Amino acid sequence: MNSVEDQVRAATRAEASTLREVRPLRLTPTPGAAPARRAGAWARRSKTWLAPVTAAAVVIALAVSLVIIRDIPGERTVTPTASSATSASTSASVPKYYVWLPGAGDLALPPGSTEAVVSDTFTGKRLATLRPKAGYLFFSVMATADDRTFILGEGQHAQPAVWYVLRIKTGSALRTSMSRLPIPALRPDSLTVAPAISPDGRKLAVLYIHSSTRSGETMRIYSTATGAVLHTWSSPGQLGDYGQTTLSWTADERQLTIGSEVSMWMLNVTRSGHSLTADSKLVWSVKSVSIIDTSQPSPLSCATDLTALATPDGKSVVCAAFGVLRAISPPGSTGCPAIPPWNTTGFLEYSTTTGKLARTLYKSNSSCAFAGDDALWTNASGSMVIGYVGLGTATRFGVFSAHRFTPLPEPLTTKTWGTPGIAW
Amino acid sequence: VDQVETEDTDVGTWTAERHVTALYQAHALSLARLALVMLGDPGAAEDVVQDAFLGLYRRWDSLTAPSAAWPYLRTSVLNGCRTALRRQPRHSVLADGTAGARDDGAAAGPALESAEATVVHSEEQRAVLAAIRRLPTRQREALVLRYYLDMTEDQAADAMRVSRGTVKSATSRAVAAVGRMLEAPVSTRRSREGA
Repeated sequence: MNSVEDQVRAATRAEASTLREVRPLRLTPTPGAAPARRAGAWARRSKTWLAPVTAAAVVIALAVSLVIIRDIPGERTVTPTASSATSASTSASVPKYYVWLPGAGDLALPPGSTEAVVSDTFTGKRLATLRPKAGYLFFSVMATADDRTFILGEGQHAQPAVWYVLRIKTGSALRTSMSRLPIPALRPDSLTVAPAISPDGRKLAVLYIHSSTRSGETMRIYSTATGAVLHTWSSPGQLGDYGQTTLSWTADERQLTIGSEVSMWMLNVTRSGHSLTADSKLVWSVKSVSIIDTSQPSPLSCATDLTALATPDGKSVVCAAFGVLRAISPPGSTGCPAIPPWNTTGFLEYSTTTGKLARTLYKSNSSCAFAGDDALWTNASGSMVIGYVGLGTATRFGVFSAHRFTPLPEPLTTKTWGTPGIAW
Repeated sequence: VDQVETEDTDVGTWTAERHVTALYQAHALSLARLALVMLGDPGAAEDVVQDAFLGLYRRWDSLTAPSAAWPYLRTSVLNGCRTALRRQPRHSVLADGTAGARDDGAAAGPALESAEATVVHSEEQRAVLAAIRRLPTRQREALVLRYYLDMTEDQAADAMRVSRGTVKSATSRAVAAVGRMLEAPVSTRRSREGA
């Protein structure tokens, strides 16, 4: 009997050998120009708004008829209900502006993005576009609490080396300004895992690993005013065993949360210690799903190939989730069940005090589409989430709150592994 | 598995178009095969590779050296596969490695085998491929890099931009999960591992 590894080798190579040729490459755009995405299978599958014309059409459609999709108890089928009353409550609670890095969520994280775009959350309109220094690219973006100040990481070789503060000034016209922060460049033997700007914008926390060993973590907090290192912690290993790490501050700036797909740690930054391991506390963890099985009903649970978010109040962890509503596909049958929907998607909130499920923020039914579920932003308490969720047979983007969904214009990027490409 | 090497050439003497076209001729098939193993859909695999080369072409001026093109392309393809996996509907994958029809009656695209693939794959291979496609994306990626491309843990860590420990744990979980799926009865599996 071959080992599993041998079986995987044989099967994947047999699969690969079925592809004998590829179609010719078509290079239509000139270097430096905006990419002209093809219409076709890939574009249809990606469900993203791939062209400004399309985006504009969607914005118009949204303006004409803002739709709320609400869960209905019982069968929990999803019924679209026309309404225009939600935008007021939603717009009062969701940041008006976001900054995203086109390309960071599209194809290639390295070598980053050639621009940072300020957009309006509710209209999707691009309000400003910023370019990095010649020969450099943007690699990460973070937001402070005021919805007007963002931090951009710029560099080369897939690593942010220089940090800028981007300020949005509103008035008769929106204006932006960028200033370089006096934070020293990364040491050559370090790789940035995740950065996080404090809510007041005065401190930048950066989690590094050592590039030579690819193990051992160091957390530094820098003053954004002087560039001075305010505190350092280190550990010989990693806090979690997954590498998709997020870093964020709590609103009171007393804790840093270090998250992955399956765990959340809190580092108390007010203490004087320097051990990342000893000074951090595991506040939440879930078991990883190793097999997606649709043959038996299962409750909504965190999708553990996605990263969970800590809420700014530090009391909760929000995750995108899925479950199986109806058992499907008995042996020999083909595909999705005759009676959809068969799975559930949504967002769950866990308590960081008890580690247990606190509430279901949103739950909907979907059929064969539950990929793309992702939480990108939460308000202070976690009661409102911006993200993606499977709905019906499609993936929807918008605000999820109190079992309501309010669609938003979808940016052409999402948070991607390791490098946040969007920030509110 | 195709061997992939990139030779350094003088950036100044070739246009971006010639460079990228040459790279495409040299590496597109091996990259498309990698994407096919990740996605199970030849059309989607080719789309991902086309997009990766288009991205390279668009960013050619910011490339630090021609030798950086290959790692960039490989990473682009892996990222494109992740995006495709996250953005496309997940279809129930049957034990024979094929995907069924959607509930709206349309034929499922991903994981639908070509006639050629059906002939080439043995029953065991179809079961293995079906098991791989049930894995979470990260585990699938680690498994493919380690055992399809025969990368070391360090090389896979570089390609995935994660730590060696992450590659190790993801691979270990993936192997265990595939092993269990191959042992368990068809379509009756739900298993969770400790974190």
